[in-house]
Amino acid sequence: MTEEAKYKYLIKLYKNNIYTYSVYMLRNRMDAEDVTQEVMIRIWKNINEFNPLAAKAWIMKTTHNLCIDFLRKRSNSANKEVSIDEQFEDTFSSGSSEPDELLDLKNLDEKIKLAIRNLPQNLKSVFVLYEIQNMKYKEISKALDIPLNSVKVYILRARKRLQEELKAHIHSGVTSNE
Amino acid sequence: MNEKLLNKIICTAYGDASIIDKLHVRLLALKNKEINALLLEYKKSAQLVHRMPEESVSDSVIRRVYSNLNLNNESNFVLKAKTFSFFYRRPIAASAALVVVSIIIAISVFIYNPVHKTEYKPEEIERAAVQANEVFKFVNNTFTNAGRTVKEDVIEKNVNKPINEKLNTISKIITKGEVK
Repeated sequence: MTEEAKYKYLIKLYKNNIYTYSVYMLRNRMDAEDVTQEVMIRIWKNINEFNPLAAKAWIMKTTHNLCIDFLRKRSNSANKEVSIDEQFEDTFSSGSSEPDELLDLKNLDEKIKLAIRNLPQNLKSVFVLYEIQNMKYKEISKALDIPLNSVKVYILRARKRLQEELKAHIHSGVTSNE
Repeated sequence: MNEKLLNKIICTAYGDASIIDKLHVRLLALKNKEINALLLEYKKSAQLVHRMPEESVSDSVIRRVYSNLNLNNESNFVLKAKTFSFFYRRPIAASAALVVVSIIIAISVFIYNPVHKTEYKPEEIERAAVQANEVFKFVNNTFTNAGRTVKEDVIEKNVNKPINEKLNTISKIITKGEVK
Protein backbone atom coordinates (compact mmCIF):
# COMPACT_ATOMS: atom_id res chain seq x y z
CA MET A 1 0.00 0.00 0.00
CA THR A 2 1.32 3.43 -0.91
CA GLU A 3 2.07 6.10 1.65
CA GLU A 4 -0.73 8.22 0.31
CA ALA A 5 -3.27 5.43 0.61
CA LYS A 6 -2.13 4.63 4.13
CA TYR A 7 -2.31 8.30 5.07
CA LYS A 8 -5.79 8.79 3.67
CA TYR A 9 -6.96 5.69 5.47
CA LEU A 10 -5.63 7.00 8.78
CA ILE A 11 -7.22 10.40 8.20
CA LYS A 12 -10.55 8.81 7.40
CA LEU A 13 -10.32 6.74 10.54
CA TYR A 14 -9.19 9.37 13.03
CA LYS A 15 -10.22 12.78 11.71
CA ASN A 16 -13.30 12.98 13.93
CA ASN A 17 -11.41 11.70 16.98
CA ILE A 18 -8.91 14.53 16.53
CA TYR A 19 -11.58 17.13 15.96
CA THR A 20 -13.82 16.01 18.84
CA TYR A 21 -10.97 16.08 21.32
CA SER A 22 -9.86 19.50 20.10
CA VAL A 23 -13.38 20.92 20.37
CA TYR A 24 -13.71 19.80 23.97
CA MET A 25 -10.26 21.02 24.92
CA LEU A 26 -10.31 24.35 23.11
CA ARG A 27 -14.08 25.08 23.31
CA ASN A 28 -13.85 26.71 19.92
CA ARG A 29 -14.54 25.13 16.54
CA MET A 30 -12.23 27.33 14.55
CA ASP A 31 -9.29 26.64 16.82
CA ALA A 32 -10.24 22.97 16.78
CA GLU A 33 -10.10 22.99 12.98
CA ASP A 34 -6.67 24.62 13.05
CA VAL A 35 -5.38 21.97 15.44
CA THR A 36 -6.95 19.21 13.37
CA GLN A 37 -5.23 20.51 10.26
CA GLU A 38 -1.90 20.70 12.02
CA VAL A 39 -2.24 17.16 13.38
CA MET A 40 -3.03 15.85 9.90
CA ILE A 41 0.05 17.52 8.47
CA ARG A 42 2.18 15.98 11.22
CA ILE A 43 0.73 12.56 10.51
CA TRP A 44 1.83 12.93 6.89
CA LYS A 45 5.33 13.99 7.91
CA ASN A 46 5.64 10.97 10.19
CA ILE A 47 3.76 8.46 8.09
CA ASN A 48 6.69 6.06 7.93
CA GLU A 49 7.77 6.43 11.52
CA PHE A 50 4.94 4.94 13.48
CA ASN A 51 3.11 1.65 13.53
CA PRO A 52 -0.34 2.06 11.94
CA LEU A 53 -1.69 -0.44 14.43
CA ALA A 54 -0.66 1.81 17.33
CA ALA A 55 -1.54 5.02 15.51
CA LYS A 56 -4.36 6.15 17.75
CA ALA A 57 -2.18 6.75 20.83
CA TRP A 58 0.38 8.70 18.80
CA ILE A 59 -2.27 10.77 17.03
CA MET A 60 -4.13 11.63 20.24
CA LYS A 61 -0.86 12.49 21.96
CA THR A 62 -0.02 14.89 19.16
CA THR A 63 -3.52 16.35 19.30
CA HIS A 64 -3.32 16.79 23.06
CA ASN A 65 0.07 18.50 22.89
CA LEU A 66 -1.08 20.88 20.16
CA CYS A 67 -4.22 21.73 22.16
CA ILE A 68 -2.10 22.52 25.21
CA ASP A 69 0.16 24.74 23.09
CA PHE A 70 -2.88 26.50 21.68
CA LEU A 71 -4.32 27.11 25.12
CA ARG A 72 -1.01 28.53 26.34
CA LYS A 73 -0.83 30.91 23.39
CA ARG A 74 -4.43 31.88 23.96
CA SER A 75 -3.91 32.59 27.65
CA ASN A 76 -0.81 34.65 26.85
CA SER A 77 -2.64 36.75 24.34
CA ALA A 78 -5.28 38.83 26.15
CA ASN A 79 -6.89 40.02 22.92
CA LYS A 80 -7.78 36.54 21.88
CA GLU A 81 -9.62 35.68 25.04
CA VAL A 82 -13.16 34.67 24.28
CA SER A 83 -15.96 34.36 26.74
CA ILE A 84 -16.94 30.75 27.16
CA ASP A 85 -20.62 31.55 27.09
CA GLU A 86 -20.33 33.53 23.85
CA GLN A 87 -18.32 30.77 22.25
CA PHE A 88 -20.82 28.24 23.39
CA GLU A 89 -23.63 30.22 21.79
CA ASP A 90 -21.72 30.68 18.53
CA THR A 91 -20.44 27.21 18.12
CA PHE A 92 -23.09 24.95 19.51
CA SER A 93 -26.49 26.54 19.18
CA SER A 94 -28.55 25.07 16.39
CA GLY A 95 -30.52 28.27 15.74
CA SER A 96 -33.29 26.49 13.89
CA SER A 97 -36.92 26.03 14.79
CA GLU A 98 -37.43 22.45 15.71
CA PRO A 99 -40.02 20.50 17.65
CA ASP A 100 -39.86 21.09 21.41
CA GLU A 101 -38.85 17.54 22.26
CA LEU A 102 -35.95 17.61 19.86
CA LEU A 103 -34.91 20.99 21.17
CA ASP A 104 -35.01 19.77 24.76
CA LEU A 105 -32.84 16.82 23.82
CA LYS A 106 -30.40 19.08 22.03
CA ASN A 107 -30.36 21.43 24.98
CA LEU A 108 -29.56 18.53 27.23
CA ASP A 109 -26.71 17.48 24.97
CA GLU A 110 -25.40 21.02 24.97
CA LYS A 111 -25.57 21.11 28.75
CA ILE A 112 -23.59 17.91 29.01
CA LYS A 113 -21.02 19.24 26.57
CA LEU A 114 -20.72 22.40 28.63
CA ALA A 115 -20.39 20.40 31.82
CA ILE A 116 -17.62 18.30 30.29
CA ARG A 117 -15.85 21.36 28.93
CA ASN A 118 -15.99 22.98 32.37
CA LEU A 119 -14.02 20.14 33.93
CA PRO A 120 -10.44 20.93 34.95
CA GLN A 121 -7.99 20.38 32.09
CA ASN A 122 -6.31 17.28 33.47
CA LEU A 123 -9.61 15.56 34.24
CA LYS A 124 -11.28 16.65 31.01
CA SER A 125 -8.59 15.25 28.72
CA VAL A 126 -8.74 11.82 30.35
CA PHE A 127 -12.54 11.85 30.53
CA VAL A 128 -13.02 12.73 26.87
CA LEU A 129 -10.52 10.14 25.69
CA TYR A 130 -12.09 7.41 27.83
CA GLU A 131 -15.82 8.10 27.79
CA ILE A 132 -16.29 9.68 24.37
CA GLN A 133 -13.38 8.36 22.33
CA ASN A 134 -13.49 4.90 23.97
CA MET A 135 -9.76 4.63 24.44
CA LYS A 136 -8.36 2.15 26.95
CA TYR A 137 -6.47 3.05 30.11
CA LYS A 138 -3.12 2.03 28.61
CA GLU A 139 -3.69 4.02 25.42
CA ILE A 140 -4.63 7.10 27.42
CA SER A 141 -1.61 6.65 29.66
CA LYS A 142 0.62 6.58 26.56
CA ALA A 143 -1.16 9.44 24.81
CA LEU A 144 -1.07 11.80 27.78
CA ASP A 145 2.18 10.49 29.22
CA ILE A 146 0.74 9.92 32.68
CA PRO A 147 0.82 6.83 34.91
CA LEU A 148 -1.91 4.24 34.50
CA ASN A 149 -3.17 4.71 38.06
CA SER A 150 -3.49 8.44 37.48
CA VAL A 151 -5.72 7.73 34.49
CA LYS A 152 -8.09 5.68 36.66
CA VAL A 153 -8.10 8.25 39.44
CA TYR A 154 -8.76 11.14 37.04
CA ILE A 155 -11.65 9.31 35.41
CA LEU A 156 -13.31 8.75 38.78
CA ARG A 157 -12.77 12.35 39.81
CA ALA A 158 -14.13 13.59 36.50
CA ARG A 159 -17.25 11.48 36.89
CA LYS A 160 -17.84 12.85 40.38
CA ARG A 161 -17.34 16.44 39.23
CA LEU A 162 -19.63 15.91 36.28
CA GLN A 163 -22.25 14.43 38.55
CA GLU A 164 -22.27 17.61 40.62
CA GLU A 165 -22.66 19.69 37.46
CA LEU A 166 -25.44 17.55 36.07
CA LYS A 167 -27.29 17.05 39.35
CA ALA A 168 -29.38 20.15 38.87
CA HIS A 169 -30.45 19.05 35.40
CA ILE A 170 -31.19 15.50 36.43
CA HIS A 171 -33.30 16.55 39.39
CA SER A 172 -35.23 19.05 37.32
CA GLY A 173 -36.54 16.15 35.26
CA VAL A 174 -34.78 17.03 32.02
CA THR A 175 -33.88 13.39 31.60
CA SER A 176 -37.56 12.51 31.22
CA ASN A 177 -37.15 13.65 27.63
CA GLU A 178 -35.10 10.53 26.80
CA MET B 1 -20.62 5.42 52.80
CA ASN B 2 -16.89 5.13 52.27
CA GLU B 3 -14.90 6.29 49.24
CA LYS B 4 -14.23 2.76 48.06
CA LEU B 5 -17.93 1.89 47.92
CA LEU B 6 -18.74 5.16 46.16
CA ASN B 7 -16.10 4.39 43.51
CA LYS B 8 -17.60 0.94 43.01
CA ILE B 9 -21.06 2.46 42.59
CA ILE B 10 -19.73 4.95 40.03
CA CYS B 11 -17.89 2.28 38.07
CA THR B 12 -20.96 0.02 38.13
CA ALA B 13 -23.10 2.87 36.84
CA TYR B 14 -20.63 3.61 34.04
CA GLY B 15 -20.31 -0.06 33.15
CA ASP B 16 -16.61 -0.65 33.77
CA ALA B 17 -16.69 -2.28 37.20
CA SER B 18 -15.56 -5.87 37.62
CA ILE B 19 -18.27 -8.57 37.72
CA ILE B 20 -17.76 -9.06 41.45
CA ASP B 21 -18.07 -5.34 42.16
CA LYS B 22 -21.18 -5.10 39.99
CA LEU B 23 -22.84 -7.95 41.85
CA HIS B 24 -21.82 -6.49 45.18
CA VAL B 25 -23.21 -3.06 44.35
CA ARG B 26 -26.43 -4.46 42.94
CA LEU B 27 -27.01 -6.56 46.03
CA LEU B 28 -26.40 -3.54 48.24
CA ALA B 29 -28.71 -1.44 46.08
CA LEU B 30 -31.49 -3.96 46.60
CA LYS B 31 -31.14 -3.66 50.35
CA ASN B 32 -30.28 0.02 50.71
CA LYS B 33 -32.42 2.80 49.15
CA GLU B 34 -29.71 5.42 49.44
CA ILE B 35 -27.26 3.30 47.49
CA ASN B 36 -29.92 2.48 44.93
CA ALA B 37 -30.73 6.18 44.45
CA LEU B 38 -27.07 7.05 44.03
CA LEU B 39 -26.56 4.23 41.54
CA LEU B 40 -29.53 5.42 39.47
CA GLU B 41 -28.28 9.01 39.47
CA TYR B 42 -24.88 7.99 38.20
CA LYS B 43 -26.45 5.65 35.65
CA LYS B 44 -28.45 8.53 34.21
CA SER B 45 -25.31 10.64 33.89
CA ALA B 46 -23.44 7.76 32.32
CA GLN B 47 -26.20 7.25 29.75
CA LEU B 48 -26.13 10.94 28.84
CA VAL B 49 -22.36 10.93 28.48
CA HIS B 50 -22.18 7.71 26.48
CA ARG B 51 -24.70 8.84 23.94
CA MET B 52 -22.75 12.01 23.18
CA PRO B 53 -21.96 11.89 19.47
CA GLU B 54 -18.55 12.63 18.05
CA GLU B 55 -18.04 16.01 16.42
CA SER B 56 -17.60 15.78 12.66
CA VAL B 57 -14.87 17.76 11.01
CA SER B 58 -15.93 19.45 7.80
CA ASP B 59 -14.67 18.17 4.45
CA SER B 60 -13.24 21.57 3.62
CA VAL B 61 -10.62 21.06 6.33
CA ILE B 62 -9.58 17.75 4.79
CA ARG B 63 -9.48 19.23 1.30
CA ARG B 64 -7.32 22.07 2.54
CA VAL B 65 -4.84 19.65 4.10
CA TYR B 66 -4.69 17.48 0.98
CA SER B 67 -4.19 20.56 -1.13
CA ASN B 68 -1.33 21.76 1.13
CA LEU B 69 0.33 18.38 0.88
CA ASN B 70 -0.31 18.07 -2.88
CA LEU B 71 -2.31 14.93 -2.40
CA ASN B 72 -5.01 13.75 -4.73
CA ASN B 73 -8.39 14.70 -3.31
CA GLU B 74 -10.19 11.92 -5.07
CA SER B 75 -10.71 8.72 -3.27
CA ASN B 76 -8.72 6.37 -5.45
CA PHE B 77 -7.81 3.66 -2.96
CA VAL B 78 -11.11 1.92 -2.39
CA LEU B 79 -9.94 -1.64 -2.80
CA LYS B 80 -6.55 -1.13 -1.16
CA ALA B 81 -8.05 0.73 1.78
CA LYS B 82 -10.67 -1.95 2.23
CA THR B 83 -7.98 -4.62 2.17
CA PHE B 84 -5.87 -2.60 4.60
CA SER B 85 -8.93 -2.08 6.76
CA PHE B 86 -9.90 -5.73 6.60
CA PHE B 87 -6.55 -6.95 7.80
CA TYR B 88 -5.58 -4.22 10.22
CA ARG B 89 -8.88 -3.35 11.81
CA ARG B 90 -10.07 -6.89 12.04
CA PRO B 91 -7.37 -8.99 13.64
CA ILE B 92 -9.78 -11.92 13.60
CA ALA B 93 -9.67 -11.89 9.80
CA ALA B 94 -5.89 -11.80 9.83
CA SER B 95 -5.79 -14.65 12.36
CA ALA B 96 -8.26 -16.67 10.30
CA ALA B 97 -6.15 -16.19 7.17
CA LEU B 98 -3.09 -17.36 9.09
CA VAL B 99 -4.92 -20.44 10.37
CA VAL B 100 -6.08 -21.36 6.85
CA VAL B 101 -2.56 -21.03 5.46
CA SER B 102 -1.18 -23.12 8.34
CA ILE B 103 -3.74 -25.85 7.69
CA ILE B 104 -2.85 -25.95 3.99
CA ILE B 105 0.83 -26.26 4.84
CA ALA B 106 0.15 -28.99 7.42
CA ILE B 107 -1.96 -30.96 4.97
CA SER B 108 0.65 -30.80 2.26
CA VAL B 109 3.53 -31.71 4.56
CA PHE B 110 2.07 -34.25 6.98
CA ILE B 111 -1.10 -35.75 5.57
CA TYR B 112 -0.59 -35.74 1.83
CA ASN B 113 2.74 -37.50 1.97
CA PRO B 114 2.83 -40.40 -0.50
CA VAL B 115 4.59 -43.41 0.97
CA HIS B 116 7.00 -45.10 -1.35
CA LYS B 117 6.52 -48.85 -0.92
CA THR B 118 9.62 -50.87 -1.49
CA GLU B 119 8.97 -54.06 -3.48
CA TYR B 120 11.24 -57.08 -3.04
CA LYS B 121 11.95 -59.81 -5.61
CA PRO B 122 11.00 -63.46 -4.82
CA GLU B 123 14.70 -64.50 -4.80
CA GLU B 124 15.48 -61.81 -2.26
CA ILE B 125 12.63 -62.95 -0.04
CA GLU B 126 13.79 -66.57 -0.21
CA ARG B 127 17.36 -65.63 0.60
CA ALA B 128 16.22 -63.60 3.54
CA ALA B 129 14.17 -66.55 4.85
CA VAL B 130 17.18 -68.89 4.61
CA GLN B 131 19.37 -66.40 6.40
CA ALA B 132 16.79 -65.95 9.12
CA ASN B 133 16.59 -69.73 9.63
CA GLU B 134 20.35 -69.95 9.96
CA VAL B 135 20.34 -67.23 12.53
CA PHE B 136 17.60 -68.96 14.52
CA LYS B 137 19.58 -72.27 14.41
CA PHE B 138 22.71 -70.56 15.63
CA VAL B 139 20.89 -68.93 18.49
CA ASN B 140 19.24 -72.25 19.38
CA ASN B 141 22.60 -74.07 19.42
CA THR B 142 24.10 -71.41 21.57
CA PHE B 143 21.37 -71.71 24.15
CA THR B 144 21.51 -75.52 24.06
CA ASN B 145 25.27 -75.57 24.57
CA ALA B 146 25.03 -73.05 27.29
CA GLY B 147 22.42 -75.16 29.04
CA ARG B 148 24.56 -78.30 28.74
CA THR B 149 27.60 -76.49 30.05
CA VAL B 150 25.70 -75.19 33.01
CA LYS B 151 24.24 -78.62 33.75
CA GLU B 152 27.23 -80.86 33.13
CA ASP B 153 30.24 -78.74 33.83
CA VAL B 154 29.14 -76.15 36.31
CA ILE B 155 26.41 -77.75 38.36
CA GLU B 156 27.62 -81.36 38.13
CA LYS B 157 31.27 -80.73 38.83
CA ASN B 158 31.23 -77.73 41.06
CA VAL B 159 27.97 -78.12 42.92
CA ASN B 160 26.65 -81.68 42.84
CA LYS B 161 29.98 -83.41 43.34
CA PRO B 162 31.10 -81.51 46.44
CA ILE B 163 27.61 -81.82 47.92
CA ASN B 164 27.59 -85.56 47.31
CA GLU B 165 31.01 -85.98 48.90
CA LYS B 166 29.98 -84.10 51.97
CA LEU B 167 26.76 -86.05 52.24
CA ASN B 168 28.76 -89.31 52.03
CA THR B 169 31.05 -88.14 54.77
CA ILE B 170 28.13 -87.27 56.99
CA SER B 171 26.54 -90.63 56.24
CA LYS B 172 29.70 -92.47 57.24
CA ILE B 173 29.95 -90.50 60.43
CA ILE B 174 26.39 -91.23 61.36
CA THR B 175 26.79 -94.96 60.52
CA LYS B 176 30.10 -95.57 62.26
CA GLY B 177 29.63 -93.06 65.03
CA GLU B 178 33.20 -91.82 64.54
CA VAL B 179 34.22 -88.13 64.60
CA LYS B 180 37.46 -87.52 62.79
